[in-house]
Amino acid sequence: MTDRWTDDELQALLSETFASRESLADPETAQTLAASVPALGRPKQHRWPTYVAAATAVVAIAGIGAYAVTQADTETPVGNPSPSSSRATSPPLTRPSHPPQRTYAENRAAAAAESARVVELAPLPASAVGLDRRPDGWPVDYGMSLGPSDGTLTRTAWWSVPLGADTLESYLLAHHPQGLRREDGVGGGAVGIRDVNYDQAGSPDPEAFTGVSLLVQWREVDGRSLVRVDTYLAARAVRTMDTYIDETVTAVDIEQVSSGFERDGGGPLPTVHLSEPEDHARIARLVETVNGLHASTRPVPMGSCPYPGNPRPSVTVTFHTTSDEIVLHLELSCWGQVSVQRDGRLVVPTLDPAGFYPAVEKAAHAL
Amino acid sequence: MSIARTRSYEDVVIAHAPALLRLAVMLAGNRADAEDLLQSTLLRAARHGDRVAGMGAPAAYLRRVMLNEHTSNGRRSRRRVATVESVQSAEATVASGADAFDERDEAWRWLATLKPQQRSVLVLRYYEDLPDVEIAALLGCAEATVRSHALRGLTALRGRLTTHRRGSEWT
Repeated sequence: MTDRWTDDELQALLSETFASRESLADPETAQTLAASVPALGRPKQHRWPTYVAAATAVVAIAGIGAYAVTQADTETPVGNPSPSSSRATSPPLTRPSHPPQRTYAENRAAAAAESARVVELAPLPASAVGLDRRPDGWPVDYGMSLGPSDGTLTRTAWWSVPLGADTLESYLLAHHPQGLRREDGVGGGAVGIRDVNYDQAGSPDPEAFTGVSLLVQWREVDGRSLVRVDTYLAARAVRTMDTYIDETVTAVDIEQVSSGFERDGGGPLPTVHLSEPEDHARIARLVETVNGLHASTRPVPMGSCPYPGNPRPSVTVTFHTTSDEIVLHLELSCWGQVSVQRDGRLVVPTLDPAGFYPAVEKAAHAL
Repeated sequence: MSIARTRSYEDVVIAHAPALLRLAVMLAGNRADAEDLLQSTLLRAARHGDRVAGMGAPAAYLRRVMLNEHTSNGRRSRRRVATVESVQSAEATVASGADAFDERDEAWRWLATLKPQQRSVLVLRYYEDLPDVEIAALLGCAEATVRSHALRGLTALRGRLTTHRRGSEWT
């Protein structure tokens, strides 16, 4: 083994590491634990108050911090609202009245301008001195990228800071670029290069480009820190009107192929059929989600392809309308895009899947 | 839409408990914490037992509850002091069997130092083999966050392994 581990080697090592610890999970113990809990699911049983108390305690403990952020997505029991009440609050099933009029070239120009603006936002101390090229002391072949992004839109800046790596790290952790946030701590590489990245909470122009990630890397050389700053983002294609759903939807079919736990099986799930007016609220939310998706970025991101598992997980949603049959399909791998077909004809562009899969899951399972 | 409800919640959780406990081990890092995590998961999910029993894919729902529990537990436990003994005892429960430096042991020790969400990403990516879009949906975060966690994880692990390998070669 050389000093330099490849990504493939590391990924294989992690898989082997996890697999080597499977024996810690005793199946019989698991089933015993499971058998001790389920009475809570039957509220008519007399033991209910005891279990409620226990559950309340768990909730009280688990309620610390930001638990509520994810709770709504996972367990909020949303009943099927009555058709009359749901119609009163459902969004209208219409396509946007003001379709985007820009071109892809304009989107790229907007993205490039934003990239150039953000690369200047690295929160460096006033003593930092700009450099016009990669300085000596920075490894030639060392690089990181945050994807999916378009490398031609990346802007890079070099700096020299008269602070040691630790001091600069403290400074960076204490200062945020305006309009960006840091979700992680400081990372570190094998050659003494540390990094931290900041992300825009959302794109300032989401129809044109993705939010910018700002990566700051630094390395101490002779008591100073050499700093590299990069931006990562991608411009979006322009969504065409054929990709919107504005017809009256009469029914929806949701087909899912689950990767599940491969060792426990997986494969096609039963088709979920939604129809008007019984499922109006869920259909309306799905249509709203589809009409709210952004067009795919260019280049369409690809990674980890083909998906190594079997079956290949996917989601297919068919909207039956009064005039067309519109099919949206998403392969849940390879950073897939949502493809759109109208009556069997593929329309362009593909759509960015953000928000699509969770919305389909909610619709399918009435979550 | 109607879903035939021929299973009870008890049927569902007993069927899925072994897989859930395996996931819990990968997330928690040791047997005791994993069993606690499984119990708290099932207790929380039991609040909607009938709904879970009627789901077409209850395993996905239970996984999501467990991941939330893991994240919450992590937030709570960050206030505790992680002693060297606790880390060592956790990883020593199942050793690789190698006498010399073993990368899997080192990786397992390193995993214990990660924040819950980053560990969750690595577990779902490299143990469950889930694609990023599913991981993002399960964790309630952006795909970019998933990729960032994974990238940083590999970078950090590379550095740690390189350091330890050099150390073992020099001694």
